[in-house]
Amino acid sequence: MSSLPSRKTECSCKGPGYCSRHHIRKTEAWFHLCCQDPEYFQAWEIGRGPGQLLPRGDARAAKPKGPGTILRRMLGSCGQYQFVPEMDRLGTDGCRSDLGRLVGVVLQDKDKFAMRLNEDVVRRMILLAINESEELQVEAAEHGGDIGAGASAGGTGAGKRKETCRVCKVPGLHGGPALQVSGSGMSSNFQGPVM
Amino acid sequence: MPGGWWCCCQGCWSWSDLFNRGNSTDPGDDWDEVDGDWGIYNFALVETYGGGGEPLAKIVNTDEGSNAVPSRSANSFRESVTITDPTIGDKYYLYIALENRDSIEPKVCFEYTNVNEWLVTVMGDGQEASKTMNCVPNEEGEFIVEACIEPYAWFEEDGTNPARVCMLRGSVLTSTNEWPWLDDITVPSGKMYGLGHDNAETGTGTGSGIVGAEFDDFEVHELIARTVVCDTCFCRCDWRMPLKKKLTLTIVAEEYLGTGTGTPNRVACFDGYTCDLDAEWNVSGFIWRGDLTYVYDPMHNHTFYWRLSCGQYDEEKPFDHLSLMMETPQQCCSSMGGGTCPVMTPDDEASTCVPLSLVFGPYTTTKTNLSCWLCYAPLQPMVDVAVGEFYVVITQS
Repeated sequence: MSSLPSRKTECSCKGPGYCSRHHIRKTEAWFHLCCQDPEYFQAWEIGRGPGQLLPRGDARAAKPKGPGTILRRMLGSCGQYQFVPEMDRLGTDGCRSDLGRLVGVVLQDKDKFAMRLNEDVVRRMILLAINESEELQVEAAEHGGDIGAGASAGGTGAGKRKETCRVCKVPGLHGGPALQVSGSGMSSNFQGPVM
Repeated sequence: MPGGWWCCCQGCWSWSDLFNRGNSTDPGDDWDEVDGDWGIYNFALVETYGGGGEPLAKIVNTDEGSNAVPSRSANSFRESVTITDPTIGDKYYLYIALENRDSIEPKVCFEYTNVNEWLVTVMGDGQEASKTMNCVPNEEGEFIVEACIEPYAWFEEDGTNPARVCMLRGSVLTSTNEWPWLDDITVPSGKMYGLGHDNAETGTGTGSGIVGAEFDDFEVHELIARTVVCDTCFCRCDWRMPLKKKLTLTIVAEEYLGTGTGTPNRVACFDGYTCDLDAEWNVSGFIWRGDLTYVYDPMHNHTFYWRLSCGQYDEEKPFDHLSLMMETPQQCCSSMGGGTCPVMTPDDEASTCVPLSLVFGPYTTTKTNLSCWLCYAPLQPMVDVAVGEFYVVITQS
């Protein structure tokens, strides 16, 4: 599979193994996805591809919440909407430069939110989300990345702090109860042991 | 609209025709007789043996008015119909997502091969897949069959409609057998639907003595209305991303634990192990299964059995409907060196649906768990290592 006939992305890997561009080790299957699937390639490009994100506080600490995630929270929802990953992928600068189109993307989901949304309201909320995201990035830089990224301090392998969904009042955005599972000081979304 | 009704509940479109109207040689304004001679008899849709064409008799919707599938749901709807009193050898068809009245695919063929036994074949884009499905009819001798088609991805990143790579399935309802399923067919963005048969005129017994097929209670539902999930045919990660038949599981075990301060990961050598997960469907839902074997030496190896289960998608609880179970005799997943591996749901911040990347873990094992042979010789003290941890990442293959 390493000698693929043609590539559909800008993947520069020569084959499976450590990828210096995306800083992970790619298996043959992931190398194939990198070369052939633009969505996977783009996810690796922005640091959210398979293997780049692990559910550990330190792994995500350098990644403050993106403007899409913040906007979703401002709208009082924890659902999955098209604008969330798109705005997070674009980042603050990208969202600013593509503001007009993003207003339309958000308005596609307007019927799913409790508040009444129009173009002007959405535009202002997007700008607020961008500003908040930028502030988090600054704070993250000042505090070693431990801001707004679902991480909390606590020594090596700091545990994962989950925010409470405004709609459902459930900690962890429905991720289930956190349960300490090892002496490493890490926690995860265990549903508990089963027999 | 004789005999039909439509619904726009919560923005979701659906339409049905129960055929509860008087006997007529005209099936009604909602239907277009492409081949054969269709009509209403005894509150059911019937067809006399027409002859010619392929299949021998076919009727499609008129694709206008309330019975037309919304354009937004081209290639994304489910339809079902009741087949009454079939005879062995009968063949019935459900056409779905046809580009026009003369299209003959995609379609699902239901062949009644034996008493209470159907051979269901899905056909589209030059591909086909078959499964035998056993099912007991209801007390009126009726079988309900359905066909479903769904695009693999609802939106591209730029918000436009995707390339219409579709998943297609057919099934006999209440059967507990696996259904046939194609998950990589490219078809035009059709939105017409229809019924057909290839039966002799003595094939069914409605009392009229002239029919080759008798259908009743036809329904069609769109699957997604904009971003609202209306109906479900396949396991979906989120509202726009159904999961394919084959997935890939990859182990991620970093060389060092935590912040990378130099504490070696006891199971670091497990990094990069991978296996396929293959879907199967049964009455309890979707399950993907796979296994991989780690070999320390010819005498010592671990086989890990994986099972990804899919429950009902809830947009307010992303990822909670997916769970991964791991089984291995040596309990390399247990921090206590015993017990059963925990069932995990994807980490909701590390996982994404587009593209599919489900992250589970960490699975942990202790330094003192000597029954786990990952990376170290059995029963040998490990002086330089602490605990081990690894993650599981599931992607499309």
